[in-house]
Amino acid sequence: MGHEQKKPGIDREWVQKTSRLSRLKLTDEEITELLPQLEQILDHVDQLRSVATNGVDPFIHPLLELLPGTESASLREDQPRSPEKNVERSAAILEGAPELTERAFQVPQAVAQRGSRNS
Amino acid sequence: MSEATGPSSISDFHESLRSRSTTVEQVVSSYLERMALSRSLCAYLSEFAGQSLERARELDECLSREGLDRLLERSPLFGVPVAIKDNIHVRGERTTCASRFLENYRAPFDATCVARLRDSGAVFLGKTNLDEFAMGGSGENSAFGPTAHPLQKERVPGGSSSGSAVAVAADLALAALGSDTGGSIRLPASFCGIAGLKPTYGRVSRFGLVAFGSSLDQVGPMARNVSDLAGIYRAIEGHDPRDATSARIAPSGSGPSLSSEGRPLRIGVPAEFFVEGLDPEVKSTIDRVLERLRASGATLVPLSLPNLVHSIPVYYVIATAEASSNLSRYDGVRFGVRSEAAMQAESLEAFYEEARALFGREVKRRILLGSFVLSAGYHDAYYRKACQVRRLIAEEFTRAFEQVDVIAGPVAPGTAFRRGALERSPLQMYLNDLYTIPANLAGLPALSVPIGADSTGLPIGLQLIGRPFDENGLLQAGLDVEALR
Repeated sequence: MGHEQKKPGIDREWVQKTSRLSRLKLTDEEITELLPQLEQILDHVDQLRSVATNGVDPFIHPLLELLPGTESASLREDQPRSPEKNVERSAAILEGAPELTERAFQVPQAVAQRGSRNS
Repeated sequence: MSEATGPSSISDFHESLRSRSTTVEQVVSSYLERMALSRSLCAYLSEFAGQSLERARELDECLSREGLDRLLERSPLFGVPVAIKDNIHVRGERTTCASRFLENYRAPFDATCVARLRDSGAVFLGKTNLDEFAMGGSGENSAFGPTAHPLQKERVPGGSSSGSAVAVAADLALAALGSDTGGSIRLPASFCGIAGLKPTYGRVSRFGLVAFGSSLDQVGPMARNVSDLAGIYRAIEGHDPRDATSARIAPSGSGPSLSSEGRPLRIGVPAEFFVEGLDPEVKSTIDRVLERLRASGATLVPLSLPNLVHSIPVYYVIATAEASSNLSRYDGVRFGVRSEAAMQAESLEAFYEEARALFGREVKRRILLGSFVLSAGYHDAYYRKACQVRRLIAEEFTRAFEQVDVIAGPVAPGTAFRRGALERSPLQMYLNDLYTIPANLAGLPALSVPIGADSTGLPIGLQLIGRPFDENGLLQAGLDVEALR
């Protein structure tokens, strides 16, 4: 627990905030375990600060770099396609759902609690 | 009666079919028997016993009708028993990614690489274990139990394609598919003494591969030797309209078979790959191989790639950022396991959090890091900065390849380490990826080829990194290395 104040900003509150952003629920024990680990990893990452990168374009995706100026490095036209294939597939995709209402994904009542709608 | 060991290579297997000393069914059933006897290795998460035997019988019928040579023309992998990493879709079968979250998930379609293997005549034996969502370098992070090293049970097989490597090394498959985001094919291949190839980014379709780091992930083959690697690779490569990041470039495999004629190989040897921290036995084994290559006509070119030292921080910013974004789809609404706690949730936020509680530790750790480096106020300092340094690393490779054909180095700082040794220190585990990560950052093809063993008998691999889209040159260099043994 002695790690909590070492690195400014990296503390329990920070982990809790980041876990909320990540939609992850962490137990107190998990936070205690994660805190020094995350701090150590971010300390290691800090070595990047010493690298001179003024004027360097970020490398976002390999295809833009490996095949510059070609069709591979650009996005395809946004063209509507026949939905038949998707309709055909949708049955198989819906099969993977934890809960279904006819052809819709179902989530627990809690989401629509304020209204009186039945699920 | 089945045989105690499988064929030693694809050509050996085809030879035995040609001479009618065996059938596809006999070979497949002997693999299935060994798989059943080797479950303690935890190499497979699912076994396709019924389906694979049925398929084998169909293929045997084709064989007696048409003869092998005619079949090989259109199905070069005719009858080859293959294992598939469990983050790649095989239609109708489970894709768990070794996660509790996807324990019951069934793939609604074939991954393109799987469909292409099927079309080439391969038989699927089952789905192999991995580090959860391919996050890990040891094979220990599976929700369904760690994969064991085939030679020394207290050692790790390497990850994340742990089950695919063990399946091939322990004679539980003739070849396998893995995926490689930061070394996940090459590292377990090296630890288990087999060959593994990560193709150039964009060479093999990612359609049907469960996404982890979308600018880094590539599917690739794992096999007992470089020729088999080439055979599997040629079946799966090539443009796929269903993957927008699949390169529109002619496949490399249409040319003649590999040969080393007329080309003295220029091998780059980066000083940064042979520094403190590298196991002396690994170093001396690599030195010996390089010396023998030199003696047989290759030129060794000393290189300096100073920005390689930043590869790990760059990778763990970019890969976690991409992972946190890719894994946001696991919300418990559309697929996966929905826990009781999620069913009782009183708000949508609580519902998501309960559903995502099924992720393992390493996955949570990486999602947290990724969310942080992308969060308001930190994006430029972490994510953008990492992408800038990524360019510096890629540019060093571009300059190096003006002088050399391939770059050689270790796959890992040491041989297979002990189970649990790095469990408490994620950073130490990440540092083990030092040599494999640069190829993913730059999108380059790279392979691991076995070159020997340490004094305890644990395998050592050599890594070769190639020019973009020059898989042929890279595989040829791999054959040259293999020929020294």
